Amino acid sequence: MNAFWQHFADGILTGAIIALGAIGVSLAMSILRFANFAHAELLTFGAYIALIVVTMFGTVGEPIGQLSFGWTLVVAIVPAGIATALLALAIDRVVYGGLRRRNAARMTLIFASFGVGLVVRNAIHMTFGGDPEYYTRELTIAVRLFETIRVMPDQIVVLAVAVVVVVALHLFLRYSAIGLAMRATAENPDLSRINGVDVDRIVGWTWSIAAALAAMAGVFMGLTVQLRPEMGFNLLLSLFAAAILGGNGSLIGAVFGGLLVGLAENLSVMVISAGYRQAVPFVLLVVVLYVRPSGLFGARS
Amino acid sequence: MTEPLLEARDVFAGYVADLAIVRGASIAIASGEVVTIIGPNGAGKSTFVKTMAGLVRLFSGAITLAGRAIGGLPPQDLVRAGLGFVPQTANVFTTLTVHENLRVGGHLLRHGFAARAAAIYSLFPDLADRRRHLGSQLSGGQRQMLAFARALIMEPRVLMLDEPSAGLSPKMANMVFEKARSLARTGIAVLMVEQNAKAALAVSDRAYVLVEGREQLSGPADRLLDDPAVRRLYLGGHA
Repeated sequence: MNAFWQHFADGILTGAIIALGAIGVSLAMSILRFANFAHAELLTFGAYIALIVVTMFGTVGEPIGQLSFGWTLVVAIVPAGIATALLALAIDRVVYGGLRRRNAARMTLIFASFGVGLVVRNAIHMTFGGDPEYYTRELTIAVRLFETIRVMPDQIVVLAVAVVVVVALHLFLRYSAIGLAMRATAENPDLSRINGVDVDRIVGWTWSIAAALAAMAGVFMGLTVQLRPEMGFNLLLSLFAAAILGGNGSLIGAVFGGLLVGLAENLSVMVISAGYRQAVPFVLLVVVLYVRPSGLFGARS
Repeated sequence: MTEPLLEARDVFAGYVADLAIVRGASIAIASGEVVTIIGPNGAGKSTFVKTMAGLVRLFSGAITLAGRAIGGLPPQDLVRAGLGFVPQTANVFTTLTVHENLRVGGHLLRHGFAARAAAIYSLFPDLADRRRHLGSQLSGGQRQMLAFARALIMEPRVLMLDEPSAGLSPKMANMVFEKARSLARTGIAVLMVEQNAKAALAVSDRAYVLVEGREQLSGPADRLLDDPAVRRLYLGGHA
């Protein structure tokens, strides 16, 4: 029973990171109207930008309390988010924007995103090499929760920050003018245009938010696991499984989908070999889509 | 007709380059007028108003609003200039509440949304009672009223309605036409595209008959109502 709760806790922590990435995938699918397979590389890019910042400072800073990192890494998340958003906007301008203006088919955009992902991933590989990198090699002591669960202090912080970010994004989408325009554009871009919404600007906001969240997920993953050029790519299928499970365009759905995928991956190792864990979310995905094709929180068509 | 507020001259427009659906159409509408465009299916009526709303590419021709050239401007600039448009289908955000729909309509407003929303709710009391309802929870008539209301929140000088009675019961359609008429009394120029020509002409000041992308006939609505050719072709009557 102890092992179950340990895997459950690990699943929630993994799921929180997947959820941050899946929100971006879901936003892109609903507002930009295509599956952006390069999204995973934005996680990697953001993680490595934070590594550059940390390297420039020479340290992640004096560890805060029982954490493995200091304020330098916290601050590094800001330039990582901004740089990743700028990369996403540049890619949109150079690649996707041009295709949209030529009324390219959705499949063309999807294949273009595969190409973009390949370029970004290999550029990172060429720049940083293939060896794993770490923000810090500081050792931390796991803390016990409810006597049976052991978690690292870093993981608790990651989960708490992920929750705060999701709540903030929910409030932004629900109450701000830009958030409302994003929801309107997701439903009907032409109707939004004739109501004065600058859809190109909303596309820019969507890329920026999705990329910043991806960068944050990348930094969290780099902190709790390690940095590798394939770190995002290895998470790609989980991100899409989470976004589709949750329902296209649903923030709550992406969060719930992320947690579900994280739990499924971690709990499955209790009954099957860890080598097959990545296949588990897809079994779940197939079952959910069979029962409810619009996803758990998506609007029924 | 007094000085035209919205004027389109020799407009060629369409979705695909070199394939014009609107071929040389011209119309003019003054403040406080209700003008209807009628014509057979595929005549380019909806494409014409969508072109004036900035949703369809203008190949050539001129569109002016109060003398200012607005042809080819993006929709958000046209909304700012005073042009409101209510499409035929999918004209409310079904995943947003009634109040959120109005907020999207007032997206360009920096101040004064609350006052305008209050004025709109007094004009459409049915919507005031349902301000927290989702667009998807409204009836066809309520959706049409919400679409009107949303377009009016920017206090447009010209309101263009694409098939406003489509899918509505005769009673509700008459209500929609009456609402269009009452809006015109406030000084708004109302331009409608309608298949329900008889009912639309009954509340219109003037009308245009569009055939194959350009106007074939135009004149006072009551005269067109009595025109044998119009009666035979579009009003279900006999010549």
